[in-house]
Amino acid sequence: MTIVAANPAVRRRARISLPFTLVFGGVIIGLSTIVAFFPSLFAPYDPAAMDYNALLQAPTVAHPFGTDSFGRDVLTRVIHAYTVDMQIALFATLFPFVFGTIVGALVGYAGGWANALFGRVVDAIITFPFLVLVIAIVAVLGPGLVNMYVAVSVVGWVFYARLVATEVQVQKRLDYADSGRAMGYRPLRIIFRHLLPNAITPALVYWMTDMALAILLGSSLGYLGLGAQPPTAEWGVQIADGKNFMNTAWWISVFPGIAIVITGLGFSLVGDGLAELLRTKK
Amino acid sequence: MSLVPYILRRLLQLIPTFAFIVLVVFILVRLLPGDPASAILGDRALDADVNRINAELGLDQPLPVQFIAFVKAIATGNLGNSITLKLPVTDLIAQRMPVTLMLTVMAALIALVLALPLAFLAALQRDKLADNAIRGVFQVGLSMPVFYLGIILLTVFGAGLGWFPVGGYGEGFLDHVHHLILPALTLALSLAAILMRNLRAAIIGVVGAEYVDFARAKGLRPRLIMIRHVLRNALISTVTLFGLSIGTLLGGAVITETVFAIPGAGRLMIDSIYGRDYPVVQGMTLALAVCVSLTFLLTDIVQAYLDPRVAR
Amino acid sequence: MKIVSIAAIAAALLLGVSSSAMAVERGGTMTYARYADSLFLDPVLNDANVDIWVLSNIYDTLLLPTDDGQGVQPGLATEWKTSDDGLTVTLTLRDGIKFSDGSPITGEDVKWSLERAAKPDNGIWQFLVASIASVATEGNTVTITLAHPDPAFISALTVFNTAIMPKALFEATPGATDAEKAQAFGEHPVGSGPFMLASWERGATMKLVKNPYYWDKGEDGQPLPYLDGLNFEVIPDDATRILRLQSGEVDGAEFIPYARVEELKGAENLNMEMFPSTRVQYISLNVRPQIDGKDNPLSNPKVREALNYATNKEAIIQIVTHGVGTQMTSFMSTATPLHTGTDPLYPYDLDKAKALMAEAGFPDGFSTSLLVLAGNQDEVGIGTAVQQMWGAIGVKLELQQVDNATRTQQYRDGTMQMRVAAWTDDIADPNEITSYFAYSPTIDALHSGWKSEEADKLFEASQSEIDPTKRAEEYARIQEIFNTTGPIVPLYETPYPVALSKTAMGFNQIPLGNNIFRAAWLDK
Repeated sequence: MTIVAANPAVRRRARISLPFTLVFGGVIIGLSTIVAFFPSLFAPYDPAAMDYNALLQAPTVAHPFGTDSFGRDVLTRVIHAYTVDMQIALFATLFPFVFGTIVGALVGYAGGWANALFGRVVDAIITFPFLVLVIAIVAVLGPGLVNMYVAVSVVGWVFYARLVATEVQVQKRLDYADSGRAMGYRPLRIIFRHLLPNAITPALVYWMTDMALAILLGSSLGYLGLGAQPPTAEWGVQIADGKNFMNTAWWISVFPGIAIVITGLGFSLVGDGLAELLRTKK
Repeated sequence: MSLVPYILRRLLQLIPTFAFIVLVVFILVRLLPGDPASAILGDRALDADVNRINAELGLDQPLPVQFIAFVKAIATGNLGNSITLKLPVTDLIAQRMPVTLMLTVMAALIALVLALPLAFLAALQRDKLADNAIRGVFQVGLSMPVFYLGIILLTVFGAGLGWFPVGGYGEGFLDHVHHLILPALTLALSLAAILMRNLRAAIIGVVGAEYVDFARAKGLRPRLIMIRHVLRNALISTVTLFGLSIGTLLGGAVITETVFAIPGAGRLMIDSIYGRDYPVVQGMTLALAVCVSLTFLLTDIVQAYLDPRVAR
Repeated sequence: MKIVSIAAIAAALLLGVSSSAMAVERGGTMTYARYADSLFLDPVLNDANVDIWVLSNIYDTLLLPTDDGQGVQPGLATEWKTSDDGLTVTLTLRDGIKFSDGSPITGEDVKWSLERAAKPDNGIWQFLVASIASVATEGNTVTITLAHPDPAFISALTVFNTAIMPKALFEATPGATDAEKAQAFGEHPVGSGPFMLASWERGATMKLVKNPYYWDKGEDGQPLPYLDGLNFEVIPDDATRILRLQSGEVDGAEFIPYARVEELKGAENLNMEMFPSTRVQYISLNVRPQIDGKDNPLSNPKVREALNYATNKEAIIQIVTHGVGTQMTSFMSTATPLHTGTDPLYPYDLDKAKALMAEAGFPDGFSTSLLVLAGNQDEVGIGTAVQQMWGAIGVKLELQQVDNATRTQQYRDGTMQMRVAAWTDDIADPNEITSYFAYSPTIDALHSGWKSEEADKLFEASQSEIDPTKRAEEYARIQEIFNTTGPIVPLYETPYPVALSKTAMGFNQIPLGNNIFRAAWLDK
């Protein structure tokens, strides 16, 4: 987003009219972030506290989202999970986005041997079995979120790099890039001030989708036991925990699921809004 | 642009890539804590048994010696025997790979069939009801873990309505297809959502671009504009994303395969990692790499066709 | 000393009488959903429960376990006798017994099969029959000479690794070594069990068909089995396995998660069976004075006692097993022969736990870690619960989810602090579990570093003690020692939860885990 803000045209337009989707998405993400920083302000109970006399209770006034198989308050855990899941969304995707975008822009502009070399790297990473990598990293470094970020980042940046490289290749053949060269701008200036703002849209849209995907991956890894570790509350793990209770205690998995949908929606709207913003500036 | 030399060049370039991947996996699996013997024998294993079995497998040899033996075997088309299943790895690949390939192809088709038309509809009806509904539904699809979505589909369309079998793979081609529809749909949904969102944004972007205005000014009919200009240009990044995702799809089918009880490559892969079945992990890695890179190459060709400017 | 168990036969007769109220039906194929596929169908060289638990349907043994799993009944042999000095066992083979390919079972097959099982370094189950010195046969009589008296030997003759295999066919199988032949033979096994393998699609389906030469007769006087065929389907996901049963595509499903037992008990078209088992679940502790050069609080017996008292087992039984489990009264299950003890071990007592921690010099507790199997709901549940419970005595517990091989390595190396673990007996005798848990030479008492000279001596004596009363006394004392000072936190024992459709009859899973389909039938 630094790239967006660096463009004076965008900044000017942003002050004038922000797309509705961006505002709406921004509000969702903003509120989520506040909850993520101060979960205890909103949560009625201690997230790890177990009540052996209130196992698997359906939603009541005391427990609006019910209790899980340990007698823990589901609402409290959904709220506390914001801290972890907002982190996952950001940390599992930030490095891939930034690094991938930079590499993609440089490679796309340079073309030739750089592009050929990049092609081999992409081949190797894309064809490498992701699960082997995750399990290897977890087995060597131990399970937990940080190691998950490492595993995801090693693979994830390629997506952004490929997306950006392809777009830059297209953009650099358009007239304005030629005029930039004719005016004697240095390549880096052409890349980052002129080409990238036009080429970044797919990467930006994908980034926002990727955040929801990262939370979801946390859940898949939770299913395999490789994600967030107990007693940490995390939506994906909560859903995995609720799998045995889909018929008898739906509330264990449905409420965290709704939280994922809403948060994912927030990111998606921001993505769509940013894309619109970038476009209107043209 | 002539495609044949390009394809040949790419195929040649893949060989060192494969060699690199196999070497990395060879080392990586041996770095994992534990060894095949104790993974198979479990908690009750006596030291003598563990050492005896590891020696029988040649795992007491230095790594370079093991690697040379492995490379020699590959050169003769022999990928070794599975340690846990006692079967040749080539047999296992022949049994399991087609299952996963079929699942992936079906999932990819479903994703495309869902994503392409709906992305157009959403883009053309931007911010109207249809757009919001499509985006909303895909957002929910994107937010559902595979194991959860899978169980819901099985409950409703399998056990409930009886339209599809509850898991398994069946016998014979049509039966396979019947068995694989629900898992393919499960696997396809998040990819469809990614593609839909990407394509929608791309179409909106392209429709607003100057050259479309220019085409319109030139008097080209709107449908022609749509096909010739909008689709071509909008699809570029979507095809990129699609190609990249195929690898994830192929390698990431493990949870889908587990939930739907499909005897595919993903499940074999994860069982073999957990079982420290080195020959299978190596062999399957190679097989997966071949499949992924060929699909990837295919999407590159499609892309080159869509936009010859993206020359490689 | 003749040990034909009259009680067992009477029990079998009673069962027969009670179920014959409904006449059995013949024919049909039963489909049973398993959580994992078998790996290797060789009775001697296999390594895992996924093999052991189905082998008896294909391979027959000289003697069979009774339905309650505790006694012995005739199998391929009709009579058996142990000499007074305990050194010779004589068995009489049944007349006219054949393998599933129609060839006769000879004394030579029996001799070869038993000697193969007893050969040192041949598989990991050799210890069960290590006492065999030699086997001789003459006509229908098999004479086994033992190197030392072995009170568990008759039970061992019901265990999978003493199955009788066709010597000539096995030796004609391609392969340079016994192991290679076994691999090829295991793909197309021939035994004399009630079923024979028809086809096997790895990871998906194993199809068995009726063995026309099986020796035993059913209630209707015709040869068993009642079924024409038996299919095993591999469905690893618990929820899918249950759905498939509910949709009628399979007739039975094993390993129902405890969380769903109550729900399925209420299902109209299902029988939710809880077969008694020898399964115990516990936390295994490393009690070495130092781990990785650091002092280990768990080496202090008072600390171990405190952890035990601080563990609310009743709550764990509710949380993890949803009331299915029962508290342990000894380290071995109540279904294990010679089990002693009636009261739950270490009833929950937080005050006592706190006092013990203070006495041990840890009034403020300490930090430690617990290995749990990644993605295993039961183990993660146990870990999450004790993490909370032990927090009350100041113990800060870090859970580490790891895969099985990683855990096994740390376990074997003695570098872990503690782990969640489970045990199931393979033989109807207390010697196997005791050897692993309490007898330090086997695996260092669960790789814990715990050692009791007295328990070691008692176990060694009990291994050749042929006086049942004396042996029972020895086991009572071993259990007393281990239960009060041992390196575990006992949690619960659980039955095997199996859900069957209302039309699936006569299936049995004995406490050792064996799935027995010889008398199973479909009510059509």
